[in-house]
Amino acid sequence: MLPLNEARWRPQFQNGDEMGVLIYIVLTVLIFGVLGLVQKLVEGL
Amino acid sequence: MSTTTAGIIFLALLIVALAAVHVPLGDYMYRVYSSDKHSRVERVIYRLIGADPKSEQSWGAYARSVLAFSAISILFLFIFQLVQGKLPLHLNDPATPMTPALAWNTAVSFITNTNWQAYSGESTQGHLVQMAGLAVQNFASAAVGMAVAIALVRGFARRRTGDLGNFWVDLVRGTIRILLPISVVAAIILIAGGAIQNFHLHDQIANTLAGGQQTITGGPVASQESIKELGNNGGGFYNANSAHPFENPNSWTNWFEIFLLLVISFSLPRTFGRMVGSKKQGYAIASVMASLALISVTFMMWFQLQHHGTVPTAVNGAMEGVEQRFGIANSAVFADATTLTSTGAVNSFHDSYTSLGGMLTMFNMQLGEVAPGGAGSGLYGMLILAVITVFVAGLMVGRTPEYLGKKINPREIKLAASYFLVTPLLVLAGTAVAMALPGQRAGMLNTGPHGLSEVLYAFTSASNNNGSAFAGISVNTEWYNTALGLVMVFGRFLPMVLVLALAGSLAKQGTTPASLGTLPTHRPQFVGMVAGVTLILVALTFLPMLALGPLAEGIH
Repeated sequence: MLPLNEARWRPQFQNGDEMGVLIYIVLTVLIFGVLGLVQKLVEGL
Repeated sequence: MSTTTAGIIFLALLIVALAAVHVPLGDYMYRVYSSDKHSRVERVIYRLIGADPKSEQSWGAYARSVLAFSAISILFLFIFQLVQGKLPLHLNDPATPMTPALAWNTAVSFITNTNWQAYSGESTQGHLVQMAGLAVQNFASAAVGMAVAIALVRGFARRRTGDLGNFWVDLVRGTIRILLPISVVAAIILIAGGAIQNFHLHDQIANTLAGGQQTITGGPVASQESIKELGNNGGGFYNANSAHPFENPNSWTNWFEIFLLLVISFSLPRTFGRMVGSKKQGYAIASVMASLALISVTFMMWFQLQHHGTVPTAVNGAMEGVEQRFGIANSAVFADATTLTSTGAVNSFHDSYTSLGGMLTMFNMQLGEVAPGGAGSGLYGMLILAVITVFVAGLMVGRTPEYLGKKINPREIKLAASYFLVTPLLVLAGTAVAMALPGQRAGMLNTGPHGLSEVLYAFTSASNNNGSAFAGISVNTEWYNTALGLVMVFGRFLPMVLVLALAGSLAKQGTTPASLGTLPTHRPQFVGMVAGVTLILVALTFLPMLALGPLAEGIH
């Protein structure tokens, strides 16, 4: 039997979701990296 | 009293109230952003975040601060939602599982001031996330928009400098001195009007009209409702948003909520006028906003009240999707106000509007939400359009265009034109890709032109950071959560980078003295030109897509 807090956790955060979390963190970093590059490009416009 | 008369009185009172408030609020915001003094609370915050309030930033540093703050905010809110099950005040049995895709979409949505909700508020998010996550970003995202607008105004107002102010100071002041005090007062007024404010999780008892009792999730609703409207956020505590009686209990609160969602955006032109040293320039910008808004609301009332079709005729009104307490006219005004600003709150369901009424909600957003637009984003969007207008006017008479004593050189017009192209590109490309993929077309609940309208509305709303939903489309899928998240983030921050670059470019210039050939930008002629350029540019960009969706449906 899962501990109470684990039981609460499971319905919201299911198997395989750990990879999904990582993917969206990387995606966020990439997006803001692109925006930073755009800012640099605009400086040279 | 007829529905039309009630609607006209409702609208007239709104105009009177906004006209009365925009001067004191606009002047107050001018003092907030121009003051050299920092309060004790502000100094503590600067110390905590390591910001030096006395230092000025170049446009590049200002933009990097905006991007860094927003990136960190997205990551924090993303994780916060995923771990909420381990934190106090969570829902015991959320109806919608909080997947990474949904959490990311929601985080991006609230940080970009969009507040697109691919989930049902009361059955997905616990009170702690609602208060310490979503509501906090309601304040912060609005303050970011206002800060960027003020930086652009400083670009026009300042001479021969690379400095645009300090983002952290503008962010903190906008939150603490403007948004927080007004939203506290507004929340109290909403509570007095019947909105709820408590910590009930699953035991809020409501008496129904039929005389029975119903258990509904309660919560700190009024406090979220006030900043939801004031900051042009729009994310509802409840899935039904401002159609829910706990969020918007009666016609009086309905009027007050519309007033809140318009008041900052209609007051900022006054702040702009004070900062550039010419109140007339502020009135000109406010006049363009008001003219476009009045045209839009007139057509919206006409489309919704002069309905056609068997069912509307039989029930004497286009009542589908309209909350009975507010009726057609007051719903039409709300729909217009929420899509002309970047709010996205709804008190009726736009998917059920007449085809031309539904088209107008989309067209309002496609205008770039400049009439009056979102908190800050409306002002900078309109100033970009003013720059494009003086450029067009300059082409006509064959001289270098000027605006507020600044020359609009090739660099400035490249930045303004790029700004204008960002959202149409995101809207049209996003819609085209979704319609090209059979799996994503399956998300539509209708076929034909109305189905296209559902997808077009979703991408229009997300790209313009509005957040209202047309309804009738299933978007809580990995593809839609990711695709709409991408257009939200690029639709918010690419224009901001371009606006700040324009501000930096303008601030470096000196003053170009006005001559006989200078186009006066404070007269009705200029107001008409800006409104005309806006309508023509937007119509040329979006009419083909609107013709395939709501226009085709209307003709059919």
